[in-house]
Amino acid sequence: MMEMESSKTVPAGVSVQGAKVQGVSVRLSKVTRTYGDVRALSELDLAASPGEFVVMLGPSGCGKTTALRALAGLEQIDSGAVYIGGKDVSRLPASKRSIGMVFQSYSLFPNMTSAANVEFGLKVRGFSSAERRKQAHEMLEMVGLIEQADRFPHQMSGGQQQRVALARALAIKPEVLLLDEPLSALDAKVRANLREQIKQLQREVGITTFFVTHDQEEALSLADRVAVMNNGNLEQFGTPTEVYSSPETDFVASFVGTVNVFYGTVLDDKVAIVPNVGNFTYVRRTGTPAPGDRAEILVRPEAITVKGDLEGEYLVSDVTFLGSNVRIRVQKEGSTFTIIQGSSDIDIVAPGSRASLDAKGSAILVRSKL
Amino acid sequence: MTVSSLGEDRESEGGFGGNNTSEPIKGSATRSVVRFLKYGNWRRFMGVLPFIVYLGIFLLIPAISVVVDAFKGDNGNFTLSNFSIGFSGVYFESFKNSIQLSLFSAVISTVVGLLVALAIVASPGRTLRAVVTAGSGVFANTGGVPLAFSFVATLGNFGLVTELLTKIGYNPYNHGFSLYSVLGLTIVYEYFLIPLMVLIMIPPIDALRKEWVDAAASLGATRIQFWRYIGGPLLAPPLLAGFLVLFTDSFAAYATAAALTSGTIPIVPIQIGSLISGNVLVGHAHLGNALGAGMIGVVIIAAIMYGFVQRRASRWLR
Amino acid sequence: MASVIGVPAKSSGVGGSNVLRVGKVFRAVVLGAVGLFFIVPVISSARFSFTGSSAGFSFSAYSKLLSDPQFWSTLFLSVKIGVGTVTLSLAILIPTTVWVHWKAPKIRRVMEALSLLPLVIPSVVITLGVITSFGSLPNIIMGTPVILALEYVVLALPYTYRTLDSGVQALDIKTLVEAGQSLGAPFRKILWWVLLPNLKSGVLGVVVLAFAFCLGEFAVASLLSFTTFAVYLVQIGQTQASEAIAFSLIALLFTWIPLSIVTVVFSRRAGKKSRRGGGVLMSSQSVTELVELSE
Repeated sequence: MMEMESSKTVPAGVSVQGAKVQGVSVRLSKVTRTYGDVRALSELDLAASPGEFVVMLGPSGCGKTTALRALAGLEQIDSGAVYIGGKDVSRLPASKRSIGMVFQSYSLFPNMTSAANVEFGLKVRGFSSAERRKQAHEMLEMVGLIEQADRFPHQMSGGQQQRVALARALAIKPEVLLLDEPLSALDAKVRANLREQIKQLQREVGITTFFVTHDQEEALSLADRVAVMNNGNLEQFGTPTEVYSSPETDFVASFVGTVNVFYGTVLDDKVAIVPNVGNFTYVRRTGTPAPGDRAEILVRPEAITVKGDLEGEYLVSDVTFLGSNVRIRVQKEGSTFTIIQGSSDIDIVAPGSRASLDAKGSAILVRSKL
Repeated sequence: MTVSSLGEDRESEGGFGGNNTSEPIKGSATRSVVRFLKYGNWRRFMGVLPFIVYLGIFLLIPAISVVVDAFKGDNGNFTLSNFSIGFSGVYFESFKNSIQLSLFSAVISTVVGLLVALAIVASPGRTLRAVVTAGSGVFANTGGVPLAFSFVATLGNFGLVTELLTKIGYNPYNHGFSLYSVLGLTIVYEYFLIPLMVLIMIPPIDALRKEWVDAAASLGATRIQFWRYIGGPLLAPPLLAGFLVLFTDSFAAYATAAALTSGTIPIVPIQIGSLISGNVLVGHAHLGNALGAGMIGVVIIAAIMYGFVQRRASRWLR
Repeated sequence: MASVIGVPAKSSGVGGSNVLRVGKVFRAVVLGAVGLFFIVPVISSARFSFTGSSAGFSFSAYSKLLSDPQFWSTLFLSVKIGVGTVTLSLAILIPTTVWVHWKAPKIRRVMEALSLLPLVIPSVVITLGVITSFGSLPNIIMGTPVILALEYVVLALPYTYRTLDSGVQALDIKTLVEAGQSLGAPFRKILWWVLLPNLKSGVLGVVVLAFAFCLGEFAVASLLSFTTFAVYLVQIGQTQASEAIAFSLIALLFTWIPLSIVTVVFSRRAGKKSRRGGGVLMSSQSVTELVELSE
């Protein structure tokens, strides 16, 4: 099967005629779900505004898929409530909630063509066959697969299948779109492409969307807001920038992006010092050590620079060229630090040489030394 | 491709899709034939020649000779009289009995086998499933003479079940039942047909993915609609194919019937057997061949239907 | 299925109670009734073999049977035929399957289909054909059980071929052969030292299946007038029911025990395969995988 992902993009304009919906608000309120002794969700509160794109991010087993399935009605909840458009749907089965869902993979019905798959939701709703055909046509056009209308799932690539699944989910004009790791079974290039397409479609259709992933890059690039989850709890719910630059918990700081942990001292309400590196600005929150205390200072790779220094305390262990950036790893007393710099600086340090570091930006978190 | 109107587009797409499904098979076949002739790839097939020759001598030659001789009279001349006798009177009856027996036993075992397969795939524990699967593997291979005798011990005139039923006042032999009849044979055949069906149906039921159920539910389908539009159509081809396999299997079965009824029940394999054993009709030495050719005919029809079912299913299967 | 925790059965995504949601009652009734159907004949046979149709418990059926010289001579004949069949089957099938996987993987499907042909042609018809076409052959073939072994190789093919074929498939023949060749070994030695040891389970499967087939085969043997184990069983059955039933029970156990071993070994392997492949519906495969020795 020819892979046609890269050449196909959403034909803007044609795409959303009649597909535009008024987004609704969605809210999970104190939702709890346990399997035996394991708490998959404990009193989860999560609310999305109309039309918002929420990404649920976390390691496997964190409860994000359970939350999504609870929202869909595919998973029972022990307590709490689910509201869609202000209406309590906790008691409704999945088939009665107005949701469109895209699964990880293999969710297309193998005995139906793409067109029939897209028509399915309309068929069970009793639409006439002419109406169904028209809608399916529109939807397939929207995802750029009109030429694959009569193919069976196994005749299409993984990326194409997921686009059909998306068209199928949207064909019933749901109030909420739920995507359960829809890109994780695809290879990198297709994934990046389809990610863009999903984002664009969501913007154009304006549907409230929940997207589950364990891939932080995916989460940060897609979301209006990211819900970082761990052990059935919501760790932080904020914009990608907030989650990345001012994580509220240790877990978020270490799970999202790369961090360097330096030991230093809190200078005052705004600045913490790392000896021989420099001053980092930070934001105080509860639990931040008092000025004068020793502290761990968490710094993103791009908030430091490295320079060759024969007397430097750091040993350059690895220099990796990444295109526009260079990733440099340095070591000191058994700890490794990662620095990202622009490629133009590449000739400054070489593996095996000594170097020193300089502060360039702010710390994302300052916490007491463990 | 330009899209002018909806209907037109669908039609042309239909043609396109249709081509596409069958083409890979045809295309690769032609290509491999060309390659075969062109590049001397036939050398590659030398290694399987002994196998083919063996199969030819000990399977194809006998099978073909049965059909050829079916058209010969005692003097070796061409005649159709073997067939006119073979498909009339007592022999016609035995074809009817054979087909009836095979249909009944295949229908029952298809239904029961499906139920068992559903029950064990749906069971949460792994142990039950492992036991039933292994058991089916073993029982499907049970047949022939020992099976016949263990049913004599069960449902024969003095069998355990017969005895128990008699004790509660219902001796089946007083109500027209006999183990040594077509009905009795049907019951005995279930012993190896049901496990066979279980083995056939477990993989396709297993292959029904949870995602399809979830997707159907999220699209608003009820459980019945799921089975009607997705589960049913997906299970139908293996079910039908399985049915045909069971039909063929019981149609060809000889040993169980021979042992159970001492060769007296009027079904085709038994008739052929008794013709071989010397009960030859004068002037029709090749009557058995005509019956054999008839059996091959029935089996070929089943095989063609089987191929058709598989091809239908392969539209959406790999 | 990244975050479904604590429920491995569900997270597999295949099958599972979620798809079918079959009631406990339904399951108990179906499995109970069918289980009974399969166990009762065994119990009945056991009882019958110990008591006969008269009352009282005795081993007389068994002791009579075991002291019957014909029991042993027919068993010996069947074993001889079995050894011949197994040897001939392996001699033909090992080179063939190895060759197919190594040199001509494209005809694998065709070969599989050919190996299933004996299922399509009833064994009664094949016997008729053997008489028709080989009737005039010298007595050394047609008049001795040699012809049985020759035909059994063909009739057992649907079971033996697939078993060996899947055994060979589990090896990466091409790599093994090339590795052997790169070390300078001739093909004969590669086959003997490298491939055969790795084919142990496949070969074992063929041995068990072919042997069980030979012990149980009745149609061809009786119609060609050879008194093999199964034919003798029927002969006693005409006169001495309890002995015949004792005999059957022994025969059943003899086939069930090795078959269960083979089934367990192979289902474990097949299970691994199907989980890896995750193919949609494997109906065609499974139908061709039918292993039944019934007739």
